[in-house]
Amino acid sequence: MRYLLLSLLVLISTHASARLQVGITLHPYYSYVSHILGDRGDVLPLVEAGFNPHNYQLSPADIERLNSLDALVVNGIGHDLFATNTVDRLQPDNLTVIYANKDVPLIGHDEKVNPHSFVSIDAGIRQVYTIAKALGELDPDNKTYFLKNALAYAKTLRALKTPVQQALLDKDVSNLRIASTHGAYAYLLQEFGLTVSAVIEPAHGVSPTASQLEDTIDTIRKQNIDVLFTELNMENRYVDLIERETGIKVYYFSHMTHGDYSKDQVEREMGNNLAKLAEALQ
Amino acid sequence: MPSSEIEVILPANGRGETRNFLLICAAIIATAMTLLSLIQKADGQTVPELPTSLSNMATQISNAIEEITLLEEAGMLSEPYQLGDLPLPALNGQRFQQQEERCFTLLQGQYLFIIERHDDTWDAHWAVTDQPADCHAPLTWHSLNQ
Repeated sequence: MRYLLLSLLVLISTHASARLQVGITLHPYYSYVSHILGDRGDVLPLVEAGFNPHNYQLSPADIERLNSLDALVVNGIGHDLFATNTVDRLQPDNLTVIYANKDVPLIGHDEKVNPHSFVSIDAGIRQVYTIAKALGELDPDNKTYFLKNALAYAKTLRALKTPVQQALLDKDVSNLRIASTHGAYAYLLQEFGLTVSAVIEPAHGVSPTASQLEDTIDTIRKQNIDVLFTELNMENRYVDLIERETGIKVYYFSHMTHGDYSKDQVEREMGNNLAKLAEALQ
Repeated sequence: MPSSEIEVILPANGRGETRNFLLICAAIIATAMTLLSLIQKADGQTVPELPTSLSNMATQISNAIEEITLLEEAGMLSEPYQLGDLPLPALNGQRFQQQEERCFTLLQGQYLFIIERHDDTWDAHWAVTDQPADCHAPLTWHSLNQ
């Protein structure tokens, strides 16, 4: 009996250790990887929620976590330099780094690549497929399961586009002039044939100076910009001033890198973003 | 006597040195300008980029390639391939055309997108041209994420 129990324990622990341990650097990748792995692996955020990805430095505890992973999914094009720089330097043994944007046709080039491909449906789906294929190579027994989950998730994400597609039906938006506080929404807007006429923040999270703000207000007036998309969860007091001075309509989009990690964050917050976009297009 | 053994060297007026110095400067400047023009020429010949307005189209095609591969692996798609069976995107009302059994193309302005089936994989590329062409046209083909 004792041997039977011991064998059972060994079997359970072997099974547990066989589950893929996949780290992620940013919130959207938590959602992507959770959907792909289903119940056949664990998703582990490299950094606890609440950090600022633009200026974070990995702590010893984060690096310890890094060493326990089978794979780390990274944005890899500039939004998680805090992780990619360290991984490049340390090159941990047995860690497979999955560059989610490997196959994404990116906006911008060289050092000016726009890293916000996760604030998008199509570029998000492209990343889901890349991650699923890479995880399938790491765990060939579950390859079909991961790809099937990726396909189902892509279908769910694509369905989020419906409100905007309906809002665009028989509507000419060629004259719609859009401004945004930073370049995070370029991928998303392009999916619907929309382009940003003016970007207000000099850099992400950096408020414009008084003279830059004056220029921005002037630009909005001169270019007859209709709507301004800005970021939820960021203190943008200057946006209120722009709204007061120009009468422009302001809509708040989620950047999806705040709050607790959750499997449904992308669906939920992109759903809200697209509902806002549909409202802006009315 | 001793004076006859002394070699008298006339003081240099500096003209020769100045000339040599200027010649060397001119040679350096000429070399630098040649190198710069070569670099600029090389820049001019860099790989063309897909315009930003088409990057989403490229992304959708890239996604379609994955989906077609999965459909085929699941036995839901097989030869002979029919355009209507493939989940291909459209842009501004324009749709892919089937050129051959294994070649599908979409001309969008000056950019031609192709999707083709090789022996064991599906692949997609784009090229700069304003003329319709098939997958074997002698064009410079680029990968979608280039």
